[in-house]
Amino acid sequence: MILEPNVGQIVLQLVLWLPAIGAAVVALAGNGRAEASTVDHDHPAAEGASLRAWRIATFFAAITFILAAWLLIGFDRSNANQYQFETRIGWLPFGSDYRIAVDGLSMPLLALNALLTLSAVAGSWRIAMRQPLYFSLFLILESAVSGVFTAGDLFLFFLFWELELIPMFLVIGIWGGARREYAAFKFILYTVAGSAFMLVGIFLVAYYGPRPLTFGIAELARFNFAQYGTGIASLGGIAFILLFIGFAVKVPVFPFHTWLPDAHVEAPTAGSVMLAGVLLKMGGYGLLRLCVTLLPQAAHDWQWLLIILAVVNSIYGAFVALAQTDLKKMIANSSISHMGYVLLGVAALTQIGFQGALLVMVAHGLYSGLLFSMVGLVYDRTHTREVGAMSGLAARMPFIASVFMIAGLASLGLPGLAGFVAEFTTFIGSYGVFPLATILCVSTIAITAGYILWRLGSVFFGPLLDEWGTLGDAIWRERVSVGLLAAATLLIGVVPSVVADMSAGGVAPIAARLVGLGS
Amino acid sequence: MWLIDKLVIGVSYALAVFDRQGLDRLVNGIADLFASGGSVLRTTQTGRVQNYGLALFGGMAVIALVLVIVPLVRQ
Amino acid sequence: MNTPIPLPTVTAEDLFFGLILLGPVLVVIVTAVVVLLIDLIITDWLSRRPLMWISALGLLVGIATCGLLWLGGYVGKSAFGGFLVLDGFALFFEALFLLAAMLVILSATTFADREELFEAEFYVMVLFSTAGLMLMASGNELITIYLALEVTSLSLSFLAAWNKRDAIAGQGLKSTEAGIKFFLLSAMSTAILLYGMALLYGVSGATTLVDISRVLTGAPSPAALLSVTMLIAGLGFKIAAAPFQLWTPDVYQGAATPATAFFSVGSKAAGFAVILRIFNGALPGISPEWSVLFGVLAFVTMTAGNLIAIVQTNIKRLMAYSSITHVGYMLIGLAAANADGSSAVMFYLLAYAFTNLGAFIVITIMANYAPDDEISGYVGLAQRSPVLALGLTLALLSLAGIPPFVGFFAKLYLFLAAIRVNSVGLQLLVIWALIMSAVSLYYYGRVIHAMWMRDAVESERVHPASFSQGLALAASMAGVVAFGIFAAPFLNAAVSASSIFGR
Repeated sequence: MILEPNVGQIVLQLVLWLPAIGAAVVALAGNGRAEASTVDHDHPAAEGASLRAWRIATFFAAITFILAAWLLIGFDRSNANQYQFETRIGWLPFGSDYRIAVDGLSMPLLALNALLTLSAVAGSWRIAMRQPLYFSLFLILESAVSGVFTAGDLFLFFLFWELELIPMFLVIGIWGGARREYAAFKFILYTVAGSAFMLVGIFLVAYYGPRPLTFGIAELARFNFAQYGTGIASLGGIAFILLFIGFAVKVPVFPFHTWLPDAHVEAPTAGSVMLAGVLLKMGGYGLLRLCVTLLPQAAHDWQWLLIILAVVNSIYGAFVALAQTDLKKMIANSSISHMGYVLLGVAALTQIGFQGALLVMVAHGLYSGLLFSMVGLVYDRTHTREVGAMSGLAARMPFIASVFMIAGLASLGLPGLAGFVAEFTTFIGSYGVFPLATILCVSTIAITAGYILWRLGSVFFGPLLDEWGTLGDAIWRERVSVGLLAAATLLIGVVPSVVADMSAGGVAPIAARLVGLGS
Repeated sequence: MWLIDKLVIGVSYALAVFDRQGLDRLVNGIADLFASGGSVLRTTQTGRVQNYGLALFGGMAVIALVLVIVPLVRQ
Repeated sequence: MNTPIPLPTVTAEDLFFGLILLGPVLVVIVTAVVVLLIDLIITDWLSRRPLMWISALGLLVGIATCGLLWLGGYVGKSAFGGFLVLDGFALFFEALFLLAAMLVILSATTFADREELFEAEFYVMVLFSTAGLMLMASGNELITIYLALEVTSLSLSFLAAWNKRDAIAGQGLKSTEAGIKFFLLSAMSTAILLYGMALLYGVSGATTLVDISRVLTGAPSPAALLSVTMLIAGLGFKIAAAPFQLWTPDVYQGAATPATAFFSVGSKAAGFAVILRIFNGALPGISPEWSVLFGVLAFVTMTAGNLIAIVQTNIKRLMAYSSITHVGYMLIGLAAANADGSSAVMFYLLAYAFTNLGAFIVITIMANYAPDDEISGYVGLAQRSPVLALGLTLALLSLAGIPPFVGFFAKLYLFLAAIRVNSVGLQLLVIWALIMSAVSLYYYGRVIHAMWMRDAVESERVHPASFSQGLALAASMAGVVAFGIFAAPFLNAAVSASSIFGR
C-alpha cells in the first residue's frame, strides 16, 4: 500500500508538472469544430461550441487527480512528520535548491488541489469563448498551487506563489462578470502588495539564518531565531509580521479581505471554486509552514494579535454574509468567516489546534468549492444570483437543490459532513488556550446556520415562481463534476481518517517547536 | 426573540455597509493616491529642452549643496 | 601636493597587443565601414537588405572574437599602459552590446522598409554606437572612457534623429525633436562629466582608475566630493536617473522604435558599466558618501518613474518610464557598494536587455498597425496575433518581476544583495522597491488587459514584417524564459566578473 520512495518521487513530480504540460497541449491543440452534443436548452450560447479543449483539459486534470489520490493512499502515515517523495536538485548559486516534497501537512492540500481542479475544469464545459486559453490557464494554476504546497525551499515557494497570480488575473478579467476588470486588478495588485512584505520577511529569515546562506525550509526550521532577541520588535517578530501580512492578504484576514468579495463575485464559476477552494488555503498553509514553523518564538509573541484577528474574521465575515442578498457574495463572506476558524486553530499554538486548522482548510476547500459550483449551476439557469428573485427552485432542480443543501450544511458543521470534524478539532485545540475566543467563534456557527438555512431555504423551497417554471436540472457532466466534490465532502465527514491521521503527524513537528516557550 | 433577530440583522447590515463604504473606499483611496502622485509628477515633463537642462544643472547643484557645501559650512 | 603620475611609454609591441585586445571593437568598426562603403558604391535601386545581414554577420564575428579572446587566455590583460583592460567585466558587457545590436538590427525591418528612410545609415550608426559602447566598458582610465562616451553619444544622436523623414503619424518631426534634445542635453551632461573628471585628476594627480583609488583614501576633500557630484550628474544623464531623466520619454517616443530599443538597452548598460568601473574601481575610498547618494537617487528615480508611468497612454512613453523605474532598482545595487551589488546589477542588465528588446521588437512590429503607438492600438492583440501578444505579455511580466521569467530572478537577486549589506536604509529601500514593483504591475497589467481582455476592433491579423524580425523576437523571448530558470551560469559569470571590485 505504501509507495516506494523512488516511484513516489516520480509520481509527485508528475502531479506537479503534468498540468503545466497539459496546459501547453490545450493551448496548442485545443481548437476544434463545433459539436451538436453541446446543444442545451438552458444555455443556447453553448450551442455550437467545441468541446475539444474541455476534453483535453479534463483528461489531464483527471490523470493528475488519480496520481494525487495514489500519492494520498501511498503516503506513509506513520512517518507523516517527515518529508516524503523528495526531489532535490541544486539550482541557484545563492543557496536556493529545487526541492519538492510532501509531508502530513501538505499532502491533504495537494490532493485537495487536484480534486478541485478536476471538478472545476470538468464543470466548465459551458465556456463558449476562447476555451483553449481558459483551460490552459486553469491547468497552469493547478501546477502553481501544487508547487506552493510542495516547495521545500523559500525561494521556490515564493516563485510558485507569484506564479498563480497571472492565470487568476486573466481568468477573472476575461470570463468574469460585469465588473471583472476592476475585480481582476484589485485581486492581483492587492496580493502582490502583500507578497512584497512576505518577500522581505523571507529575505530576513534567510539572511539572518544559518550560514552558508540557504533558503531551505528544513534547514531554516532547525535554526533558532530567538537568539536575536524575543518580543514583537525583535528580528523574529519583525520577520513574522512581514510574512504574516503576505499571508493575511491571501487567507484573507481582516482588514486585508476587501479584495475577496469582488474577486469571488466577478470570477467565473470555476474561477471562484479555485479561488475559494485552494488559493485561500495557500495563505493558511503559509502561516503554518513559514510563520509558525520558522519563527515559533515570534508566533508566541504575536499570539495575541492572531487570536484577535481570528475572532474578528469569524464574527465579521458571518455578520456581513448575513446581510448579503447576492448568493455569491454571501458565500464569499462566509469564506472569510470560516478562515477565521483556521486562524483560530493556528493562533492556539497547540498541536490539536494546528490539526484543526488543516482540517478546516481541507473541509472548507471541499464545501466552498461545492457551494460556488452550485451557485454557478443555478446562475446558468436563472441568470440571477439575487435571493429575492428566486423561490421554490427545488421543484424544478431537485439534484441541484439537494447537493446545494449538502454543501450548505457542511459549511455550518453538520456532523457526518466534512465541516464538523474540522471545526470540532479546532475548537478543542483552542479552548484550552483561549476559552472566550473559542466560545465567540462557536457562536458564529449560529449566524452561519442563519444565513445558510434562511437564504438557501428561500431560494429552493417555498412557492415556485412562474418565470422559473421551465428550468432544467443538472445534466450528466455537471452531476459528475459536483458529485465528486459532494462525495468527498461526505467521505471526509464520515471517515475523516483519510486525511486526519496524517494531519496529526504533519503538524507535530511544528507543535514540537513551540514546546517550552513560556506561557 | 424578535429583538435578538433585529439586533443581529441590524449589526450585520451595519457591518456590510462599513465593509463596502468604509474599508473599500480606503483601499481604493490609497490606489488613487498613487495615481494622483503620478499626475502631479507628470507636470515636470514640460517638453521644453531648456527646462530639462535646468533640471540637470539644478539637480547637480542640489546634490553639490547637500554633499559639499553643507559639510563645509558646518566646519 | 599631488605630483602627476607620468604617462607610461608605449612600444610597438604594446600597440599590437592593444589591437588584439581591441579585436571585437575593431571587427565592429570594420563592419561599419564596409557597410558604409557598399552603400555609397552600389546604385540606388539595389536593395539594402543584404547590408542588414552583413551587419549582423559582423556582430556575430565580434561575438566569436570575444569568445576567442576568452578561450585564448586574454582575460584580465590590459594594454596601452592600463588605459584599456579586457577583464571578465569588459567581456560580459561587450558580448551584451553585440547581442543587443544584433537583435536591434534584425528587428528594424518595419522601419527600414519605409521608402523615405535611409536603411544603411541605421545599420552604420548602430554599429558605430556599439563600438563606442564596447570601448566604454573596457576603458580603465578617465580620458579613454570620455572619448568612448563622446563617440557613442554622437552616434546615438544620429540614431535618435534617423527617422526624420518618416511621414507616418508625424514621426518625422518627433524624431528630429528627439535627436536635437538628446544632442543638446548629452553635450551639456558630458561637459559636466568632463569637469568632474578634471577635478578628479586635480585631486588625485592620475587619470587611471587604479591610481586614483590609491590616492583617494580617508576623508574626502570637498573637491573630491564635488567631482563625485559632477560625475553622477554626467553619468546619471546617460542611464536616465532622476533628476537627469527628463529627456528619456521624449527621446524614446520620438525615435524610431528599434533605435529606442537600442537606447534603452545599450546606452543604459554602458552607463552602468562606466559607473561601476569608476565608483568601484577609482572611488572605493569614499564609498560611504556616494553610496548614500545612490540610495537617495534610487528612491527618487523609481518613485518618479513608477508614478508617472501610471498615467501614460502611449506605449513607448510607458516603456520610457519603465526604463527609468528599472534604473531606480539598479541604483539600489549601486548603493550597496560591494561586489555582490555589482554582480546583481550586471545580471539585472542582462535580464533587462533581453526583456526590453523583446518588448520593443513587438512594438516595432506593431508600428504598422498602431502607428501612433497608443495602448488603444493594442486592443485585442491576443485574438489578432496570439504569438505577438504572448511575446509582449511575457516581456511585461518579466519587467514586473513575475516568475518564472528572468526579470523575477534578477530583481530578487538584486534585492537580496542589497539586504545582505545589513544597513537599515537599504532594507527600507528594498521594501519600497517591492511596493513600487507591485504598483508597476498596474500599468503593465493595463497593456495585458488591453491585449487579452478586450475584443479586437480590427480583425486584421498582425504579422512580423520579415523573417529576421521573427527570429529576433524568438531569440529575446527565449532569453526571457530561459535565463531565469537557468540563471546559474549567468549569475556565476556576473559574480566572477565583478570580483575585480574586491569586496
